[in-house]
Amino acid sequence: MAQVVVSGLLFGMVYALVAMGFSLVYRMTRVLNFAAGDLLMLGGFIGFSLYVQLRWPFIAVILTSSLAVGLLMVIVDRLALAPAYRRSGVAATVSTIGLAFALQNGAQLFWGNLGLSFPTVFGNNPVPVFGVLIVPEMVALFLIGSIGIVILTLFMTRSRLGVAMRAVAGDPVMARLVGINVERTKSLSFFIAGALGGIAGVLLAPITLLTTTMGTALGIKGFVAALIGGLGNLPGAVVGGLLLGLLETLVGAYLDPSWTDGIVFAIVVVLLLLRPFGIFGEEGIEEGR
Amino acid sequence: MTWRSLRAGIGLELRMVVVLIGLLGLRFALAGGQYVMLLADESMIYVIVAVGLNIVLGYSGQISMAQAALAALGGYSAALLVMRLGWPWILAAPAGAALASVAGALLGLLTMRVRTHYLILITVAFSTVVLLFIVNWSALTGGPTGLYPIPPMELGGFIAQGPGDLFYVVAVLAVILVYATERLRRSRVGLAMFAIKSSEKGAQAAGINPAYYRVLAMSLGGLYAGVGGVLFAALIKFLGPESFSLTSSLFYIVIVVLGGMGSTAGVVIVGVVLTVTQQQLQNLADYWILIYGVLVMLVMAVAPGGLGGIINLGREIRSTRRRPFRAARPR
Repeated sequence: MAQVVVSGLLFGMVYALVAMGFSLVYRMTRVLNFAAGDLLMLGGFIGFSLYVQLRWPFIAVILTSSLAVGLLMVIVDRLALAPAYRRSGVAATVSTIGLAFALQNGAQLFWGNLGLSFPTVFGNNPVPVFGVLIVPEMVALFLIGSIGIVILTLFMTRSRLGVAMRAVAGDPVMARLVGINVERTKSLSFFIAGALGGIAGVLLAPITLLTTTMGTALGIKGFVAALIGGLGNLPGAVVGGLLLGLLETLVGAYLDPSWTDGIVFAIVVVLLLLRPFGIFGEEGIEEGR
Repeated sequence: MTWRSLRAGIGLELRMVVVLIGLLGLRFALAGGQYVMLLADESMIYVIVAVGLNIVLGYSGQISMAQAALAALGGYSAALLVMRLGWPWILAAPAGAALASVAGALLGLLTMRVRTHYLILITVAFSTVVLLFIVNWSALTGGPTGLYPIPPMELGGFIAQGPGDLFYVVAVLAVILVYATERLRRSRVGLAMFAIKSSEKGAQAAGINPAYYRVLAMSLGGLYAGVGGVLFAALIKFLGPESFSLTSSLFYIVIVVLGGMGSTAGVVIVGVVLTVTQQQLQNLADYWILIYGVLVMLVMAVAPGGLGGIINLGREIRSTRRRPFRAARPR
């Protein structure tokens, strides 16, 4: 039992990172970013090229990959998404579906059709800790992910730019009146979502097989995790991600593993019918489409 | 009924009859070409499923990711009724379509009280569950290797052996169903759906019950998906889980968006063009999905009305040129 809980929570970090980017973008722009999972995929593949082909140190790989995916999202936002969400969130949401198609096919052209396996960085052999077997790779994923979350939280609460972002999320008109560049803060939310995806992708790469289609499922999971935590709520997204990871491993271990996704979805749907705004969600954020 | 509305009404029926005659003419012009027939049937089936999604996404503004799964439900249940229970096609086909319609309505009912994102969640969940059923319950559905051989469609004494025979069935159904969506768009029900899309509160103030029309749209969308699925089963005589994945649901969204949400003509044209080019491009280039993706983003950024928006714009320019000061009338 302890074993299952620990591995579930560790893996849930991946969902937590996707969900945070998803929630932040939604809160700032009312766009549901269905390319969220493909950002992870892209991060993983860029990481593969840098780490395996160019033999960069791992820390540089993580930083470069997250920076690259973040910048790509800023460009996409300026060129394609911003003109769409200025009209309606639904239009831009559809636009992200196009982005997902483009990223998947683009990665396929660049890195090929076959899955790539990323070599282990921190070790793949389980180490017993207090009677629980723990894979070092998963611990690294969890710790580095946590550092990312702490930095983002500090940024959102302590820095001027972070406060400006929250002001825009609260009331864009008022924020503009006090001199905040609203468009820039929205782009910044896409940068952060991309950067989180880049980090999560590189961290996920050693414990999975990199395929260009892996993003679809991950993006949906991130969306579900964000809904569980309350769409637009960042701490909620983290809790939602960890809970989703836990739920998946529990269902996989104690119920039928071939039905995991279906059972998890059923549980989440029931949960959200009972609490439509998630665990921490406020009613207000759902209004204004 | 004014003269203009009468003329517009008759015009639509007339156009549909002309299209049907044109399609049947095409059938004879292309007689013998099995591959061309297959392609023609396939694009009409895609059109049926896409105009169904257009009711959901384009008319009432709901993002549903279950269109392909609903098609799977319709196709698999009709095929299984024929194969396992020995039902005649003439009963199994409507049963499959009706089941998909009921499933669509249930999805709508589940999200009646909550907002748009939950429809996305629930339709994704539904997709996942349907695919898991197909893959895991292989004793019934054939599992990952697929369900085959599905016997040819038999209606009365007419047996649709190849795509050339099925063409008649598909063409008649496609014309009727496209005509029905176009009628719906101009009816009170369609207008109510458009009203909900542009402002839920405004629609409510006008006495429209949003939940009712949302569920109705979902059930109609399911019906169209189901018909498409049944025809697909009868055409290919094989059903596999990969034809109904989440990605193919997204592909229908792409068709509706590029065609112009709410525009029947646009969706029909894009549906045909995309199905045909996809078949051709698949052989030519491996970057066609990239092109679609970029095209979707471009359309949403530059011309969110899609092809339909461009058609309407042209029509508006022409009509204002003729009578400069006529008040705009709803279309």
